[in-house]
Amino acid sequence: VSRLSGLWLRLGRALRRRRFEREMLEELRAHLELEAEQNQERGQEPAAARRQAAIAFGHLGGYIEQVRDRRLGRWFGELMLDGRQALRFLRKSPTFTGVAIATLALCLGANATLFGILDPILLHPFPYPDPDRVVNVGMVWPKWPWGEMVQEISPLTFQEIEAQAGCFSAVGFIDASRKVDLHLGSHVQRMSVAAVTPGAWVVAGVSPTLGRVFDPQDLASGEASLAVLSDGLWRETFGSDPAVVGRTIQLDDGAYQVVGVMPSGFSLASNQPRLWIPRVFSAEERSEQGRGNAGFQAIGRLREGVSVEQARHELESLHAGYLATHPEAHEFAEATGETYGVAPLSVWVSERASGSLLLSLQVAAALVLLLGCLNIAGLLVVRGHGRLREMALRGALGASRRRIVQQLAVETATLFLCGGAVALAVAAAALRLVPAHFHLGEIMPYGRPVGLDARILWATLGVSLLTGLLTGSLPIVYATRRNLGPVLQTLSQRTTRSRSRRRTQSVFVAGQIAVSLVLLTAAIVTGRNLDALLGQGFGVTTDHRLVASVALPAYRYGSGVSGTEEHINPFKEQALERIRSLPGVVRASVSNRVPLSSDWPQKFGFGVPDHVPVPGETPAVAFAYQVSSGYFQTLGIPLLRGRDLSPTDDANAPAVAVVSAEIARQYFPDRDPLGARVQFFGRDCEIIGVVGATQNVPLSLGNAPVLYLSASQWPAFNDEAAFVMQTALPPAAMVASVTQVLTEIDPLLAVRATTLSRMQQGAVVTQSAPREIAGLFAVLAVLLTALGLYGVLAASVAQGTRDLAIRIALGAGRGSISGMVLRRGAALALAGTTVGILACWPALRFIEPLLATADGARAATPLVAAALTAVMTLLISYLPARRASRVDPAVVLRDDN
Amino acid sequence: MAKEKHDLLQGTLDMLILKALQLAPMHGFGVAARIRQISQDALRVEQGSLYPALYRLEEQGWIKASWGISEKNRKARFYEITKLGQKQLQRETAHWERLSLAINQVLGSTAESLS
Repeated sequence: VSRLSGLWLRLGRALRRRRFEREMLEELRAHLELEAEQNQERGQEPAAARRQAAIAFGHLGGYIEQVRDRRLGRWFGELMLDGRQALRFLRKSPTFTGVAIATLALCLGANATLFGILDPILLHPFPYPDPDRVVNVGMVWPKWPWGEMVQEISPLTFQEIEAQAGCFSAVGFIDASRKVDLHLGSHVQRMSVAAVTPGAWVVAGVSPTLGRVFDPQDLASGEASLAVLSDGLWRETFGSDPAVVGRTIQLDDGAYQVVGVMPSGFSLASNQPRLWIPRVFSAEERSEQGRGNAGFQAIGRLREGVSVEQARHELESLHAGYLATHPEAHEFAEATGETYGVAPLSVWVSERASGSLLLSLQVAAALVLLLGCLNIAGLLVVRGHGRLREMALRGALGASRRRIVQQLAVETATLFLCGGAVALAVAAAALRLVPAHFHLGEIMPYGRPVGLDARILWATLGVSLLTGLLTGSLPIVYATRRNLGPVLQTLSQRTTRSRSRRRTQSVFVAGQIAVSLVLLTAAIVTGRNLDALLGQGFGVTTDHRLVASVALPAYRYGSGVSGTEEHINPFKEQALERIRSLPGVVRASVSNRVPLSSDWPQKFGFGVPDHVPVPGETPAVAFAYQVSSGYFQTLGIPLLRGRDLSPTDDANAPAVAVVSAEIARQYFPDRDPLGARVQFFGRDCEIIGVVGATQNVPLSLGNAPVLYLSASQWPAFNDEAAFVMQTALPPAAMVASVTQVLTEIDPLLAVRATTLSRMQQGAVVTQSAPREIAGLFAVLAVLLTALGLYGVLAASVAQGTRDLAIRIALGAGRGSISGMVLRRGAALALAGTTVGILACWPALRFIEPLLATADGARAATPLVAAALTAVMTLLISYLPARRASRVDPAVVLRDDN
Repeated sequence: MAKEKHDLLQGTLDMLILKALQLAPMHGFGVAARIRQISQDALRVEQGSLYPALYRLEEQGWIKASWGISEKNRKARFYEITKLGQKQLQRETAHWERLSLAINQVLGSTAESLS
């Protein structure tokens, strides 16, 4: 402890050097005066007494020096001195400093940005204490396509598990299927809500910042109209008013009392809810009927000491118990391998969060950083060479090697820290733009906010220092390795060139060429992948297509047959009629959802009466679209057989369906689907048409075939009315007028209008983001490499001017002189591309699984990139080569003397 | 005044300072005066050694310093020995006794006593 406090004392003194030295001086003066007084007492004259004391004492400053020198503060003082000198030095060469800091700002900034995105998604996705013990609880159907993945759960199954399972300290049920209207006087905000059982709060284990969360007593007393706000909603809509707790708000047509506000960054449920309300099970959900609707999430917190494996065993035995009392369920369980399962939350997220995509982008960013460091190392070597003389002089004047190394290290570290600071600013700006640009919500289901935080700050600082020291070490070794004595002598003359410096630089440049080759390959591969993907299309025409979507909430429009007939369909017809009459609208139709939309996909099972399933075949599922006539034409979906739905396919006519091509191919391979039937919710529907396949959800979510049904023959499946339009004007220009039409009919509607091509961009983000980022990195890499290469060649020409002049004077042809430089460039290119190509194949194997399209030519891409790199290298070499050949021996050799 | 100077071994000075402070807390001048007084002017601590030693001992945690008012009503920095310093003094005293005994034996030896 004492040693530590001594260290503390010393550090304190070092930091407050001035004050400490002032105090010391004061103390010494006091001593001096005491000494003088004593002399006086012995009978000396005051002046003489003082003088003698001063003589005996000696020079005051000398003591301070002596004390200062042996404190820890000495080292610290040196460090400060070196830091100040480094700053002065960096200021003195603004070009070098500017290039280096810009390079670092981009390279470190790219890393900080990606880390800022990756960290909350992959490393800390759950803002809960002990997140490893939080698991997803649900159904597992191993024989279905999703395999061992834990699926959603039904209310009754949840209640049984909650009552019987002993492995959890708490379980929670999350109903994230809804959105609600929050009424704010004259207008409403429509927002995601999660209805959760009180257990979910216990599982999460996070305390609210204001008020409280709801507990079982709240629900037992029948007072279930409570709401807990998210931090975002509280700030943006309620102005961070702490008095909101206790206030009553209107959600849909119900009054809810706000009881608490959760902290920023907290999330519970995958739909990024803005607020949470209690989930109460209806009588129906508590009966056997409650087993059917397996559409909800359940989470559980494992008891201390219980492993995931143990929990899985317990749940499997619970399922066996359920089967023992429900013989009617045997057949289905047999066919699907059904059981209950648990999985750590992280599994669920990393599967959806495209973890390997983020990881590979981070690796690419690290490569860019490596390249930037190589570049700066090259620059440092050049500068180190220019300063050999300074170093030699310092050495001659008595600076120890340690001092010189420390000074150089501080210089590099200062440079990198400055770069890191600018990089943080770059990252802060990028983190504002990137999440929206890349639709991060898609791949970040838990919706933690992305932004500059302390972790990024420390990580960037650490990486800056680390890379700074690593980058600096080679040039430092170079600068201090040699015996500096001879340097002083030789430097006073003109040297021709330094072989070892050239070798060091060549290694750096070849390394840069190799790294940029890898990044170039990645850019080409991801670019071709995206082109192929967009080329094959998504089954719809995105050009001049607009989508305007509204929710028709059940509390105002009703639901079921009556709601559909009385409110929903009349609204759709009225709106469609007005939209069609808008100038600029070529044609329009309405559906209950649109292709490429990122809303949680809702799949339905259907039957094909004459279809004989092959063993192991999965049950037929499809997206069910409720569309009006003209839908296919409006979206450019090709009608392959039969006819479109028509207004006469109404409630009084026989039920009909149009199927997508996949259904026709899979279930009617050798017969005419037209006139055949599919069963949907127990009703036979005649197939009247076959249309082209479409991509219905973002690529990252997979796809399914589609059944198109007549909106007037079925109750609405959901509350969405999506109007699709083909426009003559640019579709973005139509947004305002379409929105106006819809809100004129119903002012409380929140209209989301966007172009179909914009939706497509969102749907392919997992494929387009790598392409954009890899492209950006490749451009940066090529620029940096070109800069590095040019620097090396130009410097070698400049410093070898005398050599060249002599050669030319002795009769070397201009061609052979420029050939020399070009050969040097070619040698660097050869070395760099060879290493680069070797590095490309493992890199390709790494990114291959992330790409949506196959490409036979992919393995050859490194060769293409190598050819491009070689061409670039020669182009860059050409400039110094030309300058070398233009050297005028008469001028150079005369100037020399 | 005899200008005869006795260079003190490093560590010996530390010991003397600690000993002086063990008697009573005092300022730097007092420490020098006390050592001179006890040694009857045989040991004179140069200020050039005294203050670096005081700061070193303070950094070791063996003494601690605080500003106070001297007997002559002047602001002065007073040093006092800490518990750790007491222990250190004990150690050094023991060490010194062993060392000086050994040296005395060497110096006191005669040719006869060794044969």
